[in-house]
Amino acid sequence: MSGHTPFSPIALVGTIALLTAFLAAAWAFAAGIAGNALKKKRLVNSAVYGLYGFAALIALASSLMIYAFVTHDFSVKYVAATSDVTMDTWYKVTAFWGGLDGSLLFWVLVLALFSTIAIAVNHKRHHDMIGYVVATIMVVQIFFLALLIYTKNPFATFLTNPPVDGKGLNPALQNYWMVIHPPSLYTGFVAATIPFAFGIGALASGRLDDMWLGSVRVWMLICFGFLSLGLILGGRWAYEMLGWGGYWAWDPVENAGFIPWFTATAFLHSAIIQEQRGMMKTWNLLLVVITFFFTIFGTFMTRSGIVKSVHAFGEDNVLALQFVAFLALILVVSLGLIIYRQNKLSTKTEFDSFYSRDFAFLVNNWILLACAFFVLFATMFPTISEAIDGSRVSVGPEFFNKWMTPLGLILLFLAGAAPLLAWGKTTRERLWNQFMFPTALAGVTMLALALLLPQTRHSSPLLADGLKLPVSLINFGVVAFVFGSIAQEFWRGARVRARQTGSDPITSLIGLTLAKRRKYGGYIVHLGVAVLFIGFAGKAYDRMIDRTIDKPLVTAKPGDAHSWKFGDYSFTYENMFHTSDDHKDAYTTQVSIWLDGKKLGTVYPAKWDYHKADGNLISQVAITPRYLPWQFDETAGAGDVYLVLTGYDLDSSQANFRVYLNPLIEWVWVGFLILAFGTLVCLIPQSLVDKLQWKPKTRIGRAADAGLLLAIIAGVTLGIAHQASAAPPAGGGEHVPAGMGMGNAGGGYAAQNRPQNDTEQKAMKELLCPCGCARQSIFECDCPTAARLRAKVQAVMAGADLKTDDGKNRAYKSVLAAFQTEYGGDILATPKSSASWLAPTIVVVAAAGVLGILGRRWMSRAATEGPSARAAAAAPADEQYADKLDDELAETD
Amino acid sequence: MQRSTLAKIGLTAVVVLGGGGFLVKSSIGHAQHYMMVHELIASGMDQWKDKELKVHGIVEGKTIVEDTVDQETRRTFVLEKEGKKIRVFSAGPKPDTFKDQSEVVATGRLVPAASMQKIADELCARPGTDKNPKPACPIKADAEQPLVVDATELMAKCPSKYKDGPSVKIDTNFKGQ
Repeated sequence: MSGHTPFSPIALVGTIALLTAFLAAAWAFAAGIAGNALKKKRLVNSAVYGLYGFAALIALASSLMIYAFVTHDFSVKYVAATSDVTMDTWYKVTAFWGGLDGSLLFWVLVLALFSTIAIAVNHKRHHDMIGYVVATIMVVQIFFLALLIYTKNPFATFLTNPPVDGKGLNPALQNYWMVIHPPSLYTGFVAATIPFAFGIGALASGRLDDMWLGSVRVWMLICFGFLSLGLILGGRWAYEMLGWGGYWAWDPVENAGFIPWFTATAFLHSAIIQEQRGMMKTWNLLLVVITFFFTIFGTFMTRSGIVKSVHAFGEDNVLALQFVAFLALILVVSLGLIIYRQNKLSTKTEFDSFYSRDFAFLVNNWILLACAFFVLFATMFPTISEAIDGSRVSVGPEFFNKWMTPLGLILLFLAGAAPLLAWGKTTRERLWNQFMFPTALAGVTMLALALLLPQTRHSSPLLADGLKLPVSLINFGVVAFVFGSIAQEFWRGARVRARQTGSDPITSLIGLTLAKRRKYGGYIVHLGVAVLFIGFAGKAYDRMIDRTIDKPLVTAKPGDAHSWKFGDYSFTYENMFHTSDDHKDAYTTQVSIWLDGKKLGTVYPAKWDYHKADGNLISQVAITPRYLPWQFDETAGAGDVYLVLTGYDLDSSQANFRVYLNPLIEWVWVGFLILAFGTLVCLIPQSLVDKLQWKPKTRIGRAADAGLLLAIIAGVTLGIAHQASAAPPAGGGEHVPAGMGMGNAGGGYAAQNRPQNDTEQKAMKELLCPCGCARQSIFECDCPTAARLRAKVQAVMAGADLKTDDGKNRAYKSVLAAFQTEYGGDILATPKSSASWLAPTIVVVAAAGVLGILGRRWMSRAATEGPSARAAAAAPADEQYADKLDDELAETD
Repeated sequence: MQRSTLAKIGLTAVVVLGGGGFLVKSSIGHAQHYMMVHELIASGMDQWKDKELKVHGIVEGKTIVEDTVDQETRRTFVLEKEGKKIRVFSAGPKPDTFKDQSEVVATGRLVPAASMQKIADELCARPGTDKNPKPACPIKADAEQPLVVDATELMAKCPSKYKDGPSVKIDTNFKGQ
């Protein structure tokens, strides 16, 4: 404590650090724009270093803030408002982001950290746009920093004597979920700034090829991952702390995190269309802009008080006005740039067919966007309605569910269907071949459930009250469809790989996943989403009861006056205790749960009365999960038994209990863990995989390494799971898990030495990469050799005159000639000079001929199918699949 | 502009407008109005019959009657604002700060008072205790208004000392089913 004078050196240095950071940001902004606009490399570099300096200053300010919390410097108002001397150290550290002022500083800190990584990785590669990127990031930083300095300075001190003790952190926030929920949502929000900055950089510099997409995708994935984590942790917190038996009630603040989640997910899909088909350039930029816009809008919505929420940060009109101005600036600048660059953005390619993966992705984008706008509309509904006719009107969760259920089911279906479709166009044979198993699985599942579990046949209204459908049954059917589809994809892929590499199925499966991380990681995410939907379906079957029991009895048995029955469970109220410590008075009841006359266990639902909480009691919910196979009871089913003490009378020992039976709810948490695992698989950097592929010489060694990598990721995922299953330690002592190690920001070797002009690109596409098994060009290939060869192309072409077509042609030819001299004719994708290309052609033609003759004979015998040209269609399914896989090996990544 | 482009734009417009219109229509059907007691009574109560709404008022002193019947706690009380009153029935948990003169938002349906008279009588059937006196008994459910609120949820409006800080409303809010 700093004694009785209001002077605090920490506050002084902190404020100076913030002010200096402001100057650094202003400089980096100006130098970035000027540097790129005037093509002054030194100015651009200076902007980049300005950004690094900014990050260092913010890190200093944040450390000072944490130091103030840990050392109880209550002369700082913010420290006095959100902490007290009795709090555990961990809560003191996390009180840093516990209030409005600190959370703004935390925002600036995370963005400074992310932007430092992103700029350090992309600085050299995108030199002609990095100044604009820095400038964009700095505009965002200046906005938040201005809020901090002018209206919400966390280092503000008392003018009079500081209090001896602080007010303490809201007890509802003193929970281990709360330690990680807000920062992970913030982190997700902040991560959306990086793609936005690169999008604006690309627009401003006019470099609108697919280059910027690569840098952006990883950050959007990080954004997606952290938003998912933040949302699910918020749900888990609500489930454990708020005592209403649910995890999601469409609260405006949670919705604010959900809206950018939809658009980020949409971008992750539509970016693939641009990579594969060169379409939707404008759309992708719009998605990047809109995702960022929604993150700021979400912050605005929850902080300005325009929407009422349980999070209630309070109304603040000045803040609201500042946010509105910033939001308008974002829209005007980004939409203006998009319109300005329209001629560079227009694409000619059109969709070939409805039965294509492109189209499925497009529909997915529409639905995700519809979800985003629907949630936005429904969240804003009270505000809109009040503005129109002055009446305060709200819409409940039922309204959200009624709309989001069908939209969610369509999305879920697409998550299973899109992987089965081909790019461009899917032939009828392939449709049949691909959809047969998943569809059959869905059909069998629905039939079995309808026959065995009659409650799944129950119809509920969808969209309109008049339209009633068996929603659960459809839901389980679609979940089965996705399981079937993803399992089939893995199975067929692994079989092809097993044949190509001669390894066992497990090794092939791991190898396949690691080789095409984005694709198979994405499938794992889809699987996680399907599992989440099993959990969501449970919501339709949850039940609730309130019971008031007059007296406890230690020897109470089911059936007597101290017990009650709900579903197949019986509950006996056995005791009530009153204990107190420095922080709180605890009123704890002892209740045993029984099933079929057998005691399952004893739980202790309680209410805690924090001394500093003005009579607001915190429920300590007793959750008894029963979902493991050996816990399954035919009539009681699987799920949570959720017991809340809703009221008590210490004198008479009368207690009010509320019980929820929440079937299937565990699948929500399990589904999320699978989703997180998939996201991490997508984020494995190429360099890590390269190390695995080059180091050990034996197949077993490689498999062991690959297995180890996946095991580490699974370990990280399960680490979070462990947090979920761990009982909250009594009286504090909670901890936050270590960071998740999502450090790599670059696109690996694939992103190194990218072509700087069309001629380089043309040459790179023509040169085959010698490192992989698939015939990938060095333009596409993501191995280190390809990156080295690309540098060589650039070296050969350096200084060439590319102004005329003739010059371009000469440069192109000189590159090919140089490579041919060094590596031989095999390096060319379309060999011209050597006769070696004849051999494979002859083999292919001959094979086609033989197959044709055989096929024709076979066909005529079977008298069904036609000419030799269609021999391929008659080939066994997994050969077709090998073709498809080869196509895609060239396509994806 | 090409015809196909026009057709696309037209189709998109139809889908967006149609979807939006349906959304607005559907939201109106689901809208839950939020009113002060006097606003509700002034607006003509009959139009709200059997509709779900949120009613905000102050618990009139000495009107809370609570009892437990078959392990179920039920209560009734009168909400008042600017001299206008309406009776509320609710069951299950109540906010920790629920008491005489506290500010409460009751979420529920407006139902005819006569249909709740039986419950009112049950609540008054047992004599009050020192701890739980029943000064308001016997209760005439339609004494205040011909309609009463059958509440599924009671929410207490309580002053929070965390107004400026990280405020998460604490479990005064039990979602009814």
